[in-house]
Amino acid sequence: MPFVAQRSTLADAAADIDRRIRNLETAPRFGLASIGFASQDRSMVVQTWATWVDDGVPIPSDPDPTAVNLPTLTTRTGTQVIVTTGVTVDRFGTGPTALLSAGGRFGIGIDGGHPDDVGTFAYRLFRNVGNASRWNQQFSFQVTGLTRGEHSFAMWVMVDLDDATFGAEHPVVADSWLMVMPIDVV
Amino acid sequence: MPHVPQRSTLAGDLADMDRRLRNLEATARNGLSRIAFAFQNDGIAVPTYDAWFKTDGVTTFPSITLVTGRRCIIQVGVLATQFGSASTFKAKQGLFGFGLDGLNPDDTPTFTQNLRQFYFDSNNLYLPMAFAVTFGGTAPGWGEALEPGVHTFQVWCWATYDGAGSVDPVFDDAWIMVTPLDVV
Repeated sequence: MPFVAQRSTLADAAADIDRRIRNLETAPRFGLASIGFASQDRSMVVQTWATWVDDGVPIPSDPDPTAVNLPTLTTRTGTQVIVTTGVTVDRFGTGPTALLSAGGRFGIGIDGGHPDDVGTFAYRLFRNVGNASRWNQQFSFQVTGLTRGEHSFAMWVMVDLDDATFGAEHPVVADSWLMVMPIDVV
Repeated sequence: MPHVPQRSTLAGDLADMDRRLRNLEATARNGLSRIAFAFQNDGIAVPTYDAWFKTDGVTTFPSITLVTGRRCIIQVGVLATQFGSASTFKAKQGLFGFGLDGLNPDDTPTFTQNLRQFYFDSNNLYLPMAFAVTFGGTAPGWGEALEPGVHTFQVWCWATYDGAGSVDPVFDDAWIMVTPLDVV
């Protein structure tokens, strides 16, 4: 039997519009409202080698003697987020200016874990671009498979010890920040 | 008097749907539809040292003018080159950032994290750099809120003069993206 379009009635049209409005009224919203951002303005001297750390001592000119923590944030997410993070690195190099470290990595851990626990996409390596140069970089990655609910995101750095014999100058990270953008239903 | 459900009429149903549609139409929308991006792939040789600049008179750093609410994300980046400590270079350190509504980054009153410093001991590297900041008011870490309305965001740069070199530093591939997040 050939398809025959049914002539709709006004009541049918009203019912259809009602259904579509309900869809809009109850449509899941994604998580822009719960975008999280955190930053750390203070510069942090890194003193621990070859392990992920999330804090350090302040630089000598900092009037605040308390430890400097890398930024963290807790926000409600759906199953997927985009994480963007960045840092300024300073006092890395291979000498002859008595620098202890020539590089390291920085990244984001989730719910108490390290970046390694998230995946290799969750951290980036950096190496010096000259002795005691200062520059900044950022990167982004996507996380899937999260359980819906609150999650904590924390920034970590891991720094190599390259010149323990002659080096004296500890590396510094500064202006660190992270942003978490939930991209599905929260 | 007990509640008595009213028998709906088509006119009543239509009036109800009209009201609900108006509610949806008037619901505050976030500003994603107004995300804006600007890019300048021509390099700008530093025209003036020890001062913020946004143009060399021919080429101008990218700028975005759009309507925002109170919350937005700003991302900005540049590729800095021809900086170094060798005697051929005029500068090894500089700043880049963004300014709001015609002001340079230092004068932009609503945020203190809208610029970054760099210096390169190595010579003539090409280093892409970038950072993000947020405007948002009450949320921790979000900086001050913007006044809802039309705003201009523009990349600005700075180079610190070092000495007798002959090579001017260059800022290349500058970009800026503004993501409004709330009612626009």
